Amino acid sequence: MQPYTVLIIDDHPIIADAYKSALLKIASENSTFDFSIEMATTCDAALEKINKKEAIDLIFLDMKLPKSSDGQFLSGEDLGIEIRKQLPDTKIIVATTYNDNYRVNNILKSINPEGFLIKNDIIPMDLITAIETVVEGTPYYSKTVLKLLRTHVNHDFFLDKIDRQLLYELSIGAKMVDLPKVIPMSIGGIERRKRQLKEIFDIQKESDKVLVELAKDKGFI
Amino acid sequence: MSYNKRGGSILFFLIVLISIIGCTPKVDLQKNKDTTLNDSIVLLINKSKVKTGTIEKRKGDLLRAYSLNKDQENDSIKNQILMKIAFYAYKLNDSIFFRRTNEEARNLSLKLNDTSGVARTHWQKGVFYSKKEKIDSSYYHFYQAYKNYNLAGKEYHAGRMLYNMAFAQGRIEDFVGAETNLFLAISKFKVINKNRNLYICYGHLSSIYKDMEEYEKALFYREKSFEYLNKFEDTNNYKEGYINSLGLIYQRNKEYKKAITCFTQALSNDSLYYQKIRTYARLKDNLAYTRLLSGDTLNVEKELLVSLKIRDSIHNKLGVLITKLHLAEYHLIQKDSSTAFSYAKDAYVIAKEASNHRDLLASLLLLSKTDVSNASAYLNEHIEESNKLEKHQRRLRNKFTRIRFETDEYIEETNRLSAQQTIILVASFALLAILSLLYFIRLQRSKNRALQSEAEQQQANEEVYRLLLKQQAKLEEGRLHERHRISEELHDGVLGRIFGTRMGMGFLDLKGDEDAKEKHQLYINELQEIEKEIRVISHELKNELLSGKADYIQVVEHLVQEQSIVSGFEYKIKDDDSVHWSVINDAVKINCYRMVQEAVQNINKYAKAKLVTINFSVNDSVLNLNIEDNGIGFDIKNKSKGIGLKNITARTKKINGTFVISSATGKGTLLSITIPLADTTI
Repeated sequence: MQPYTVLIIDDHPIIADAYKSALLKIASENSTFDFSIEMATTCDAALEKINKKEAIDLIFLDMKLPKSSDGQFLSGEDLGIEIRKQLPDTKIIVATTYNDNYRVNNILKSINPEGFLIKNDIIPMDLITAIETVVEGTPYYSKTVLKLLRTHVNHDFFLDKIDRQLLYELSIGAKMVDLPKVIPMSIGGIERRKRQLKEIFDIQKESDKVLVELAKDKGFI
Repeated sequence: MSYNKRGGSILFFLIVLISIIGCTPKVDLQKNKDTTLNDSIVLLINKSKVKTGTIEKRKGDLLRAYSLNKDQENDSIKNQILMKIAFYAYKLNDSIFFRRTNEEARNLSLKLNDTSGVARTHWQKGVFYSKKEKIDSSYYHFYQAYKNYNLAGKEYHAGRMLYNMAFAQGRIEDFVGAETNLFLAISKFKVINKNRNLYICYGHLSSIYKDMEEYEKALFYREKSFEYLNKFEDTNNYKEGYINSLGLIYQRNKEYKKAITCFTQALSNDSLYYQKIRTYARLKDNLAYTRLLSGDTLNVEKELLVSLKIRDSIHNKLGVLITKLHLAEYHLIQKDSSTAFSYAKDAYVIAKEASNHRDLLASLLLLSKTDVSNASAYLNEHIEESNKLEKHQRRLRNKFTRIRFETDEYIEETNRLSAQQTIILVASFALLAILSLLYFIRLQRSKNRALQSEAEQQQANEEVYRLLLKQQAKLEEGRLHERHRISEELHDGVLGRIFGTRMGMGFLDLKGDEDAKEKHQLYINELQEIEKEIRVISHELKNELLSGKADYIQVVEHLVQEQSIVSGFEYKIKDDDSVHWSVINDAVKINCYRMVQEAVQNINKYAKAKLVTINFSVNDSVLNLNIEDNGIGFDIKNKSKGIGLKNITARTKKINGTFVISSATGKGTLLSITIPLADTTI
């Protein structure tokens, strides 16, 4: 039986080590599993492994990674997209400390990982369950992600990427004048979007703060 | 021939003397009752007037009066007395004493600014010179008196001086000058209804015309004088004098019958002989002489001799002279050359003595006719004398003219000076105007400078404020940045590592007892709790970005807090979440800040408020600033805007805003300011 190839991408060796421990634990408890484990602590190292085109069954991907040396990959998210492109069959377990809806949403949309772990949600047992579930071919989402997905099912707002980004930037207190630097639109356009967003959330005169809170409630950010 | 002149001259002196006495202000005895000294002075003067005393004694009294008066204080009473003393000195023929006292009186008058007094001393001097036959000097003094009386506004006296001047002019045959002055005098007298003076003036005017041989005019004015004669009580036999003058005009005009009628009529007044023996003698002489001229020699010599006798008896020297001339003429007509010669010779001597040039000439003519052998010598003398006379008269006339001219020149000079004065006045006004204009410009300029510097100051203030805000914003940004960094660090670094550690620990296969395993699990759980806590902290660090107060409001609050100490009000500052201070431009913020400052200052000054509420909100891109207090308020209609409200109005205008104030007495005040925010600033 071919060993199950696993690549752990995390800049914290201790975390990578934890994943490895989990895999080894599974292997030790269930002889049907045999893992061939590799690790990458930087984007560049990860890319090197991905670009070998060797089949990788499972990749642990940390979202917070230092950017690649060529500057093309800024985070684990970018790396995830690249993995999807290069290795479409590879299963990805995303592990992140971000637990805000906006990021989670984005990750779901861009990578759509088989396993989605919010680090704070899980205890060692969950990690084992997640690995086992994903290897079996079922997606595993930790509870924060599940909660988010459930709220999304309950409403039919459709917000595109820019809407979400705008809401997110507002939520972190970005200045209006600075927004065109992060959102590829004119300030007038951004202003219009904001008014549209307020209409969507059925508020008119209320402040941006109300908008942001509502968006949070609805799980967009 | 020149008899009338002499008669006039006598009349003139009479009038002058009477009038001077008459116009001597009575020393107010009442006022000086308590001053025995004054009493005694007046007493002495009166004593000196009494004609029964010897001249020496009278002079002594006057001198005593003078020395008593000398010690008196220099006041108007002393001056009046002094003038009086001078006058009586003149009357007593004491020239030296007169000159001295008159001079003193003039100086005192000048000192006391008594123009009338000055005039009176001139008048007295004029009379004095007139008597001394110094016609030019008398004319000068009369003229000075006239000017001073004019200055003092004494019309009557001024008129009389004009008459005196005219009289002097008549004596030197300056007829035109005399005529002018007489008319001037008449116009003055007419205004104040001085009939006696009018009578005299017209009479003299008539004499002037008679001497100019304009008999019609002479008659006209003589009759005119008669009109006035009827208007006052004739106590001085003026009427006979008038008829005499009328007769003389007829006589000169060779209307002898009329002349004779006149003289006869005058002589029909029986009382004349007793009252006015002088006039009586004159009329007698005139009547006889006229009859002689008319060819009637009957009783002429007898009549003339009567007149001569009377005149001789009253020491009327000039009258004697005239009558003797007439007698000489009579005898010449009677071809009695030797008697005629002796009369003519007598007349010549008298005339020479009295330096009466006219009668001297007449006597010389008669002498040449009576003493045919020496006729050429007399005629030569006649020519010489007449030349001398003419020269003398011309000299005097010139002198008169000069006196007038000098005065005219003086007037001209005065005019020139006054013109100069006007120029100086105008120039100084212009200068003043220019100076004040310059001053005004300077003031305005300095005001402008002050305003400019104020504006600059304000600009600098605003610049400082802007920098302050920028600095604060930078600080805030740095602070936020740091919070962000810490948040990220906690989230990504610390949290991740704790997670890793927790996981690693979880997979550790512990070989211990159950207790140890349980504790292990407990620590792992604790780690998870720590993770949660750190995550919360991290989030709060980020979230504070949204909820944290804007720095601008802090600045405003600082200001209000400082001001609240002054009158101790409570304050609330609210800014709606809709207001994003970071995106509102500085001009709006600065102006809002200043308006809050003005408003709060006003509240401190007037409102006596307990609570001040300041509210910022944004609606439809319009910033609303409401400043409300619960103070005493005021009636908006009745109160003109103070500087504070004006400033607020000006500031709102500057940023295209509107400003509404609502208040009522006892109801507090609300300032509502709305400022449109341009799209780009939101």
